[in-house]
Amino acid sequence: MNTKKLSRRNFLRGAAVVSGAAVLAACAPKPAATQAAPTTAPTMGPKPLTTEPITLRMWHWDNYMADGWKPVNAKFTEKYPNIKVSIEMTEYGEYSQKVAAAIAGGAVPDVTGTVAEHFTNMAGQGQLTDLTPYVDATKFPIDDYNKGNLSQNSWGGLLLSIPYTADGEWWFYQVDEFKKKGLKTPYQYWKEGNWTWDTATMLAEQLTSGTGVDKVFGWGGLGTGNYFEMLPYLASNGSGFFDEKYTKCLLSDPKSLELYQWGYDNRKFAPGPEDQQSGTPQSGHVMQWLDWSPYGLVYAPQMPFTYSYAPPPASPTTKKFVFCGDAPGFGILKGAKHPDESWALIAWLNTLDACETIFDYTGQEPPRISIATDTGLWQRNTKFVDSAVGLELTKARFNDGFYNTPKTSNFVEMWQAHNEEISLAWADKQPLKDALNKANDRIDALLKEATIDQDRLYWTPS
Amino acid sequence: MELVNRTGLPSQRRLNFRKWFRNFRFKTLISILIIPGAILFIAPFLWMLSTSLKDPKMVYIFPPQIIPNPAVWNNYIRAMTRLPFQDYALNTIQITVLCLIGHLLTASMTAYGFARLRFPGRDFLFILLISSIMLPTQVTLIPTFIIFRYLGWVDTFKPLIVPDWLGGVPFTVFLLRQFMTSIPIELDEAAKIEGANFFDIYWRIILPLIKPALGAVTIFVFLWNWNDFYYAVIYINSQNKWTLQLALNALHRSSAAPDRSFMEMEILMAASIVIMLPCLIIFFFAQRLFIQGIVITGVKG
Amino acid sequence: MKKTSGWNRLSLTRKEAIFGYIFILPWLIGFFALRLGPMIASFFLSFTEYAIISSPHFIGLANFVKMFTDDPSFLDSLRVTLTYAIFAIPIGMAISLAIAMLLNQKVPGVTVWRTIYYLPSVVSGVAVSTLWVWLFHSQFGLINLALGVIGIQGPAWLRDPDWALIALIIMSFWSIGGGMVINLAGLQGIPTELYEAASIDGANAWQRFWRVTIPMLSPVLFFNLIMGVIDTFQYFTNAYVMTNGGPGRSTLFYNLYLFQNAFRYYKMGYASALAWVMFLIILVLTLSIFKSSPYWVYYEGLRKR
Repeated sequence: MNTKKLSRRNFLRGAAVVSGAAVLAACAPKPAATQAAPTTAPTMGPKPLTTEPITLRMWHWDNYMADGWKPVNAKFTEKYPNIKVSIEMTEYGEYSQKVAAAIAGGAVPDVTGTVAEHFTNMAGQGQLTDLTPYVDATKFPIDDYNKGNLSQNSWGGLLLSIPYTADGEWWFYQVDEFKKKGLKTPYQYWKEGNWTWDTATMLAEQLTSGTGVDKVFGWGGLGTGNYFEMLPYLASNGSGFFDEKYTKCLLSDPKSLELYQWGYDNRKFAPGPEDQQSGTPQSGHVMQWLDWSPYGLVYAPQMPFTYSYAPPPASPTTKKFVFCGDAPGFGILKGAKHPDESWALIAWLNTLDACETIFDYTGQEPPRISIATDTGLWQRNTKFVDSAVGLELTKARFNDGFYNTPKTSNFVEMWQAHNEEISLAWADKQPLKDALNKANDRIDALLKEATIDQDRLYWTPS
Repeated sequence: MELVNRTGLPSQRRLNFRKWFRNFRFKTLISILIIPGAILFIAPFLWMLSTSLKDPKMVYIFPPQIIPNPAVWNNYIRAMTRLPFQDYALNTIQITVLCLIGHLLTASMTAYGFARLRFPGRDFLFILLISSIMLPTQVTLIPTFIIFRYLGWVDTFKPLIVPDWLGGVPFTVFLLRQFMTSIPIELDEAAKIEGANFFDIYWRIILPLIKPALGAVTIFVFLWNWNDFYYAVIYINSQNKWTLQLALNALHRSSAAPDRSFMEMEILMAASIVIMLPCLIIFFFAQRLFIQGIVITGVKG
Repeated sequence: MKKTSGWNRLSLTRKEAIFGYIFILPWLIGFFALRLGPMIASFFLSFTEYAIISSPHFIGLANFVKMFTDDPSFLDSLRVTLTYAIFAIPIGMAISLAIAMLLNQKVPGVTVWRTIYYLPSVVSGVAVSTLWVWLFHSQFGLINLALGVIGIQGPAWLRDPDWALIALIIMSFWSIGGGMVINLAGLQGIPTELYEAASIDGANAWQRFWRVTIPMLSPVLFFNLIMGVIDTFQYFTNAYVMTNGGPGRSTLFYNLYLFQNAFRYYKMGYASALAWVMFLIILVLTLSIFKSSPYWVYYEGLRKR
């Protein structure tokens, strides 16, 4: 008998079997769970919810928002005692990855937060359930929502998530400092029609002083942070990230260069990477900065100074105000185990009572126009600093228009490419024009591989 | 150097003194080189401790406060309650313990098989084992992920534990095997004569004799699993299944959002110390085992 | 009378063989199911485009072509990883050797010092990353504060594309304790007669170092070098937690880029291709080191030429 050596043949056979199995597993259809889940709602009336004890997993990225949802979810559980809600937070930068991993692993959450590039990721890959049947069946007040916000939550003509807020970025500024130096505030400039990029940096220059850790910065700067800032500014100047037909990136357009030039020329009044602590709003060293509107409430206990707001400044050429388009929402991923109950929770979050509770706790403007522009709502919120101005800005946002995140499936990579080139320009490692051209080329290349949802980028009431 | 006669002639004594002085100077020189380095090496720990006890307002000030006064022990409570760290500790402990048991068992079994038993293909398989020591994990990562996904094991602890039950890691198998081959075969023979089968020999004779190596492997496996971030971040999604490393990462990122680089350092440092503590405690209790373990791997490897 | 069972009728060698396979069975299963099998599978996957939520489809050499002609991130990740290896490994080995030599002397309190130098290598993971993020804080981190004391304005470290990688390299020197202890054991294994013989032949301290210490330590150095190369390509946690590859791509380590492709952009085929390229690079590097070893690695005093 031949037991001398494990024959090469047997060995290779074994290896082939296992590797073949692995490749087959890869080609196998998705695990059963993903396929069995229903993807459309019933067509006749609201379906009764399950009576079994379940826990809905609610995924999001911003810790402080849980403060608003917890009481709302508690009331939901009061109404449906067998349904508990568990909120799980993943930091923004990791969010898409976590969602993708959950999809790949076959264990998706029930109610999934969506926004901007995280939305385009999920929607572009067809991972979200169409909510239109649910909206129709439960007579959801969808007309109370701004069309641009809804567009941000749709793909391929299907409504894939419901906005839970319609916040925007505002220009925050420290009120006292302006008074001290006898300067007119951004709000005043806005009211008299003179609030432009040049005004903003003129103020920044006057407000910058000191050196080292004691340095006071006139403004928060511009460049590689947030595309929620950059895109509206581009639109204000008559440019944009893409043309409206998504044929090419517009970063190398001369009008785009004007915007970046503005940020670049005024870096000296803004914190740099070396001002890690003093460059934050909380440090009190930054006199004007762009931030999300709910922070009007969140910052109140944190900041030892008074602040107020104005819209982000307009381009000096066009004097047009453009807000950022961002309507984060909640959707239901395909393969979620309790889609009907998930929808019930999403609908619950958008009721008048829930909206006001959330606004009260976290300062998030309600997504529904009728509620968000209600004067009483803003007056009742005593925690929101300078709520009268807040209301004005919310109304302005709906009227002046906003620029949405481009609906390309790989927008994450595009913005990454942008940041890599621009940060080199900001560090003076390459000329600004080159940076914009390089970014433009890379984004054009990415555009070719992207799945795109052709839709308006710039939304105005008209 | 010849032995010096202590009661030697005066000139002899002077010679002794000069030798002692040179020795002393030499040792002082060495110490002068060692001590600043040691200070550099220990400073991060001390700074971490110092920050963890500071009042939040005293963290970002210049000049820095070296010894926090008052010492805010409450930071540790705040750190541990910011997220349910007790749950994550239990998760991490569960994973680590299960891995330890499986790893020690299967790695030593495999090592014994290669060290003491003869079977067809043994040498060939052993060569495969050794060459797989240098196999980078990335080459197997994706199909392994696909396999675990197909089994429905993603977002469970199983992908982190099961590999340790399938022979552990080639490195430890190799290590244990080297140790086992240094045990005299006569012991085996004596046991066989008394009627012991292979399993008895393995369990009652070999294992007790390689305790130092097992100790070293225990420490390695503990550290690897306690500090593992890579596999945890790939396979674990639900927040209730987080390990301590994932929790600290979340804490770190949540207090350092890109456009809000305001970090609550005192809490992060407190949490980091708590997570580091078991490693440090085990080290202090098993110092010799630690050093032995490193020496074994380096010298035999 | 007891019937001889089937088992008892087997020969001793047969039984031993069966026991042998039983003992190595867990490893055998693991080896085929989790190492060899996946390795072969990932080889085939590298020729596909595979987004995990859909099936893989064959695209031939496209992944490899893209990698070498149209992917600046790939080239950057290679550059970053190799730069790190070129600086961190030799300097780290030198430092750990120097410290080991210092600690090899009979200095008072040597066990205390040895503990202190070794301690940092006991801890790792996110806790260490978090600590060093704080140490490298551009305004209030210990490092810039200390530099400020001697009048140097420290750079923005992890937020400066020129300095971020340097920061990580510096950080790696903190954990050389493991290598140091191995060196120490190796040093203690060098017979003192060799040094005496060298002194008698007229060698000074420097020559004794290069002619006695280094050759006698060369197997240990060889081992450390190989492990250093392999570990550099596995570098992940610090890059992920501290900088996430940034600023720009200045700390985009290869393993991090691979991870991003697999688990963030859903390009599993491309990630498999990256994994195999990495494997080949490591193979080439380690083989070169092996090939060069007869020239500088001495086993038990015998020169293998």
